[in-house]
Amino acid sequence: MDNTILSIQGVSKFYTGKTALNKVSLEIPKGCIYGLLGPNGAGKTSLIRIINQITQADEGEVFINGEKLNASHIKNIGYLPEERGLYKKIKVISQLLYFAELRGLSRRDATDKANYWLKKMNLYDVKNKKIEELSKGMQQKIQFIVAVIHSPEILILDEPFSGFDPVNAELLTEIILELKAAGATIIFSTHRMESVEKLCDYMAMLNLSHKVLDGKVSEIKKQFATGTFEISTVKPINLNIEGVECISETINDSGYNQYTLKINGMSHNAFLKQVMSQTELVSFNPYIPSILDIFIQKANAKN
Amino acid sequence: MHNILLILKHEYLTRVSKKSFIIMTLLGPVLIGLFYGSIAAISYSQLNQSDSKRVAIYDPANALKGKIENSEDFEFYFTKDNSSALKEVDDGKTDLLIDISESSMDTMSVTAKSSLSITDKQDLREILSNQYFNHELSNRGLSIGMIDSLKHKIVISDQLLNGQNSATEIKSGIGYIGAFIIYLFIFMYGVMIMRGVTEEKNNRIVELIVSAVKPFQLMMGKILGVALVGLTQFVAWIVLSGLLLTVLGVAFGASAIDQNSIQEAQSQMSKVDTGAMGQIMAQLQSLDFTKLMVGFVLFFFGGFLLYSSLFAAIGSAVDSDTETQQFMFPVSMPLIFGLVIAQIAVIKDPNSSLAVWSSMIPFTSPVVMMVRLPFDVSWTEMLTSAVILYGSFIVVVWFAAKIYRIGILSYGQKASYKQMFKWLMMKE
Repeated sequence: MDNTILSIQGVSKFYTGKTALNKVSLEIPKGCIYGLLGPNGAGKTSLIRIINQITQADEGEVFINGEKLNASHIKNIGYLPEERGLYKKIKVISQLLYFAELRGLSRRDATDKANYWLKKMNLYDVKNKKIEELSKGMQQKIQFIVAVIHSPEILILDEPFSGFDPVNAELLTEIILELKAAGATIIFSTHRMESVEKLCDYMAMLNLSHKVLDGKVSEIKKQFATGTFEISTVKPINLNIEGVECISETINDSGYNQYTLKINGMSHNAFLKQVMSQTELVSFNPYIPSILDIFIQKANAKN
Repeated sequence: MHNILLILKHEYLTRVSKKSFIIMTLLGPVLIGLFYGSIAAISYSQLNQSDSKRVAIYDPANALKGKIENSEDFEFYFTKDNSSALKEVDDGKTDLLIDISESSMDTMSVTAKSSLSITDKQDLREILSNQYFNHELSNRGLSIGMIDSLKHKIVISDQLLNGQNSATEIKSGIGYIGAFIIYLFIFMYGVMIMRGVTEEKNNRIVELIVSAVKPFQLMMGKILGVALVGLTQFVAWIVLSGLLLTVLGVAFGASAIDQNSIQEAQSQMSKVDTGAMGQIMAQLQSLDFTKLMVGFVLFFFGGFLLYSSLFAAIGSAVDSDTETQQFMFPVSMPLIFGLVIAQIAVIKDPNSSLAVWSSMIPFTSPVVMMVRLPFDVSWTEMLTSAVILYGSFIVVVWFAAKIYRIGILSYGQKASYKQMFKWLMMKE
């Protein structure tokens, strides 16, 4: 794929008595927001640490823009770790400059960038304060600046929204979209699958150190939605129709009879005609599963 | 290398600009001055204590009558009444009762209300045997004047084959001070590194840093940065002490003594060049300062690097300062052992095999070699020890880095030797 910025090929990581990643392969396209989903302990952090060169893969390779991962890629990657941490007793500005320089920026560039981001995040007034004097929310924003200050091509955000209040979460979302528009590739890692459903273009799901699913979010949803519908009616209906399989039936909050069903052997119109001949139809929708539903389905299938 | 320098700079600047560092640097010489001043004052006042002990001698046979003189520490009186003397001891009017009624001069029973101190016992023994010796000599017909003239104090004026003054006292002093400074700085700043590592680990900053630099670079940058902080403080203390002495000298000296009397004193001093001052100057001149300075810097840094890499490994393995104790002990043992060797073996004989060996073994060599250095250790010997020291540093830092790189990212596990050994064996 020409468009791939980050290619992970058959990566495994073993710890004593435990496999953290088992032959995981991913292709992450340039300029997208890529969701890395999975419950705690699925191997997300292990994978992120390998991409960040904090640890090395025991098997498999990682390529960035077709080049094998090496120390020169450090400046291309920005990282917001799940466990946030800054030097409590050091001034905001010195802290930002230090991390920017570690990522390869010159002192002058680092200063310019730090000032730019502090202004953008409404933190310019506190640049000479120590971290411990700031509120939790401000500290989170500083931490985010540390991740983006060197304008990385690839931005890895591990549980980015934890610790942000709704207002700041909104600001963060805006900035992430801005960065994407500017060409950055953003990798989201989270166990709260619903939280990034709206943002992600692509996603991969990890469970128990295996990749269980990956691809374009819209396609995945379509794939899982095939032939499944939700129908609600005033009175119970007889679903003993050939080509229709009832998955569940219930009475919904509005007091209507609600069914989830698969229609395989007949046209939707023909099915609806049969329903309408029995009772009053209230609604008929294709059933769009949530990412969480898909995950549960996939995880169960594996087990 | 660039990364190590960045981290070094960061560690150095952060620590040097801390209030506690500035205060310690400014107050250090004053505190050290106060410390030694008060020690001097205490021992001076101890020496000049006027309360000499009252000692009763129960001597019914008049065996010692007229043969015991009072000394600085003891005031003797004779008694014929043992029980009343015992009562006086009980009342505290008399400190000691010596009973020589058994009329043997070999053993004397001494009764006191509270235990005798070691020095009191020694002094008493010395006084009594001395008196006994004099007494016996005069019994054999020697006059007191003759006895005194026989007690001749011999001054040992020792010199080396090359004709230089052997300068034992100055050498011991300089060597010991140098060794103690090395010992102190390794501990102070080694622990500082350990704390710093644990702090970064607990803050989870470390994950962010090692995503940008290699753990080894972080560790080395930190060790070198803190080493420079230590050196800065050390140099600042020397400069400040110098300034302080000059200022004090000007304030107290120059105002009291005018220029003429100083010149007078100087001209007198030059006449008495065999005096104590001249001897010290001669001793100082016999020292090889180049070798001493080179040695000090070599062993200061070498010792510091060796121990701080171990301290850094400990800091990475634990989750909090309180957990460090069990690992600190075995690491600091050789250092403390080195200081003990420096105090005993070296002062007794700087070229004893224990002293020589422990000045070659890397964990004790920084301290022991420093004490031995003024005593004509050859350049070859010194450099051999230094090569061993820096060589072992490279080996130790390699092991330490293996523990460090895994330790800093392992949370919530109780640190243990078994665990550390496992990390050591883990492949890259």
